[in-house]
Amino acid sequence: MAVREVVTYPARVLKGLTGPVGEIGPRERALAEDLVDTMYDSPGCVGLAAPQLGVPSRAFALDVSVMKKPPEGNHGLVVLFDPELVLATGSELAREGCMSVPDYTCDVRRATDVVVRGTTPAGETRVIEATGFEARAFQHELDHLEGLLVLDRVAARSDVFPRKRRAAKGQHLK
Amino acid sequence: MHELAVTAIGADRPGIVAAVARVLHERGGNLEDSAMTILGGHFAIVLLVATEDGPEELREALTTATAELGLTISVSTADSERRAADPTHLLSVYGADKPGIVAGVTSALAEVGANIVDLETQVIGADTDPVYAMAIELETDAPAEVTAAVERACAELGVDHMLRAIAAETY
Repeated sequence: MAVREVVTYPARVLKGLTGPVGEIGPRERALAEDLVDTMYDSPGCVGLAAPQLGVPSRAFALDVSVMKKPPEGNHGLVVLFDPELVLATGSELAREGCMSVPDYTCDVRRATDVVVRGTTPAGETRVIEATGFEARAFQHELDHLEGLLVLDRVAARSDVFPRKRRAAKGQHLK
Repeated sequence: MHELAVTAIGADRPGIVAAVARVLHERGGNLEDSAMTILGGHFAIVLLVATEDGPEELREALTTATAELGLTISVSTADSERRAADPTHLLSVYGADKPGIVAGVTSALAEVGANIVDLETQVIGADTDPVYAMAIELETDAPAEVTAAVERACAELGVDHMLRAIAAETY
C-alpha cells in the first residue's frame, strides 16, 4: 500500500503490451492498492492504469466520483484486472489529459456508452455499464493496456494541439 | 483581380490580425485563404488575397500601415491553380525530443509521393523529459507504401507513431 511515482512518456512501458493477470493473489491486491492510492494522491486524477506505475499488467483503477461535478450514475471506485471492452456505442469528441503526458491535453473521439467486464481484487467477475465521461475514462484506461496514449487517438489535426497548456481541474483521465 | 501570397510575422501582441486585415480590406482586397497562429512568442500570418494591387505596392502599404507592430512582411504572386485539400490520413508522430524528426518523417513521406496537407509540431511533456509531437494530415493513394515508409523512418528515429485513415475515424 503506497503512493508510487507515475511514469511519464517516453518510458517504454507506456508503449508496450501488457500481460494478463489471471489469478488474483497478494501481489495483485498490492498492485490494486498502489493504483488506488496513487490515483487518489494525484490532483485531478480519475483513473490510473498499471503501466503508469511501470507495471506491464492488465489492471487499472478508476473513480470519476472524485470530480468536482461527479457524473450522474457513476460507479465510484472501480478496480479491474484483465478488463475487456464488451460493447461500445455512440461517439463523442472531448478533451482529455493524461498524467503520463504532463501539461498536455487533446480532443479524443470516444464511444459514449460502453460495457466493460473484468475481475475485481476480490477475484469476482464484474460487468459494468458506463456512459459519458465515465465511459470515456474506461476507454482511456483500456488504451493504456494496449500501449496507446491520447496521442494515438487524435481524430483530426485540428484536435491535436489546443493551445491551452493545462486541462481543467478534474479532467485528467490518468 | 489576381491573387497574392502574403506572409507577416512578428512578436505577438493584440491587434496584428486586425492591422493586416484592415489594410487588405481598405484596398479592396478579398482574403481568400489564411492560416494564422502563435509560434513560440511570435505571431505568424500566411494568407492569399485577391487584389488589384501589385506585390510591391501591397507590401509597401502593409509595411507602412503596420510599422509600429514591427512585422516582417513578404508579398509574392500566387498564380498556382487552386485545388481542394482532401487529406486521406492522419499521422501522429511523437518521441523524446531530438533533432531530425520532422526531416526524417517528411522525407519518408516525400519518397512515396504522399502530399502533406497540414503539419503542426509542438514540444510537450514534462520539462525534464521534453516530448516532440507532430501531427500531419496527408494525401495518398498508396497507403500501404506510406505505412511501410513511416514505420521504417520512425524506427530509425526511435519515435512512436500512429497512422490512421481519416474516413475510418468513426464509431
